[in-house]
Amino acid sequence: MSRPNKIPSCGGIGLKGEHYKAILEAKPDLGFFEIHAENYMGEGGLPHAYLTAIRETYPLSLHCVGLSIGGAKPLDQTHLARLKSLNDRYEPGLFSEHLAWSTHDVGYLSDLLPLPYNEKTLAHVCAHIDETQNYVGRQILLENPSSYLTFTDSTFDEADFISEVVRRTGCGLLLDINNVYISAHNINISAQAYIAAYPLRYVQEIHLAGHTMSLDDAGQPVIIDDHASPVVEGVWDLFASTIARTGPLPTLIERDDNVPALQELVDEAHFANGIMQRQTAGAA
Amino acid sequence: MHESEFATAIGQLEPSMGHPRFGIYRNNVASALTNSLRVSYPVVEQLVGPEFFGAMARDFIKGHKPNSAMLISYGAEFPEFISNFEHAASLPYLAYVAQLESAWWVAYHAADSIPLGREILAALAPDAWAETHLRFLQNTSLLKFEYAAVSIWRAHQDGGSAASLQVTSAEQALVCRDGHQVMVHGLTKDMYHFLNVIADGGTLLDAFEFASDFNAEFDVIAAVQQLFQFNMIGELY
Repeated sequence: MSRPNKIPSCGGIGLKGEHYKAILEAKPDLGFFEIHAENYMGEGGLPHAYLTAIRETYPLSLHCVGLSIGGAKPLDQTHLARLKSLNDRYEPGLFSEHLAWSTHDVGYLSDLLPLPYNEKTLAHVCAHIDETQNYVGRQILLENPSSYLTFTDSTFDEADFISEVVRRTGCGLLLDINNVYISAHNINISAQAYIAAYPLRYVQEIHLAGHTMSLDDAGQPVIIDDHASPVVEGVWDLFASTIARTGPLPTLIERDDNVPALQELVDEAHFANGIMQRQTAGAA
Repeated sequence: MHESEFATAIGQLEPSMGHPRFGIYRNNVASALTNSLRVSYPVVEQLVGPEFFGAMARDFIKGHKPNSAMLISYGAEFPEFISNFEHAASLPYLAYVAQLESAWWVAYHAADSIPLGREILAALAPDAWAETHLRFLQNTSLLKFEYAAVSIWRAHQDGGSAASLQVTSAEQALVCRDGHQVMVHGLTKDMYHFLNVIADGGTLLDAFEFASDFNAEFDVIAAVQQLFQFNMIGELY
């Protein structure tokens, strides 16, 4: 029996080490698992042994956090080689990275850092996506960031910038609905208007996650994208209205901190399935 | 905010750019690296508590930026940093426990490799063993501690107990893989030196002679059998 490659249009969850055993025992009803590529760049050992076993039953989405596509510096060739090797080994159904940067002269900055949207950054992003797609030999999905601030040297709206990247590189898109919700609050834009301007027909995957309300240094409320809690109602609503336009899509429940028992995440993925079924039935 | 200001400031992790949201990125960078250290040094964290660990990690991070996005290889210099960290001077065993955890982490992610089985010994001519060299698998580490780092580490594993712990006893350890499992074996002083000579490229006879300085009764046959039981031999030459 060959392992399943194509990711179905239903809910999946991020693969966490604390769930390895429970997944193999319970074989929960999930469309796919997603991994952070960087966590599997070790040469061997238990992480790869478990991933190999889980991959026998589930399709996989390979999600990168450290390629620094949005940076001005050349891509790290060693990192690209490791990505290609993971892609060849695990044959993921989807492959994605963020519209962000993380590599600077001082080394790797472990966050998804924002970039202004202008002709100069557009050229960098497109060149890096071309290079990655050529090197790895497949299409990459680009994920929209969560924003805390905007740049005075931006000349594009984010959705227009992303549309132009798709047009120039042929990449696909990963639409993070939680990020849209967060950005809308933090930089005072309309989430609905963002989605309306977004090139939805190129979206091949959705991300959903939790976030935390906080205060910035000026005492103003700011939403922090921390993936440390369940998806909130406002994000589910935005998901539902988006799905009504796109139809069902592979949908990931992201949880990277305060990781709960496996079943809790499976339930959230099933909740997403319920919304997708209702929205599709409503459209029919 | 302007791009070039942002890039420079975040690169140097300046405390403030005057922008009230800048600190969010700085915190994200620091907390991702701190979490990465928490994952690879769990016993160190248990020994000092999460708050002290966080403060120590932040000091470390200031001088140690990761050189790649592969954070599983971040923090190899943490044990050495701890050994010089004056606020932890009252816990002289802490850096040794960190050394052990660092070796554990390296073995955990190391390439899978197939050990030689002990049947290879039967093929060895009776008078050949003295001149034989052994090559250990790449995922093994030999460690020597001035404090009871192995016992302390073991006491903090599931089901471990600190009841009979003698913190000031020197200890030696072998960290290796058995299949996908990381194994931590406490070693006697003679066995440690036996292994150390082999690891440095000495023959079994060299290793035996050196180990005999620490234990006149050193049983070389039993020692070699033990190594094969540990599944740590990659090659005989």
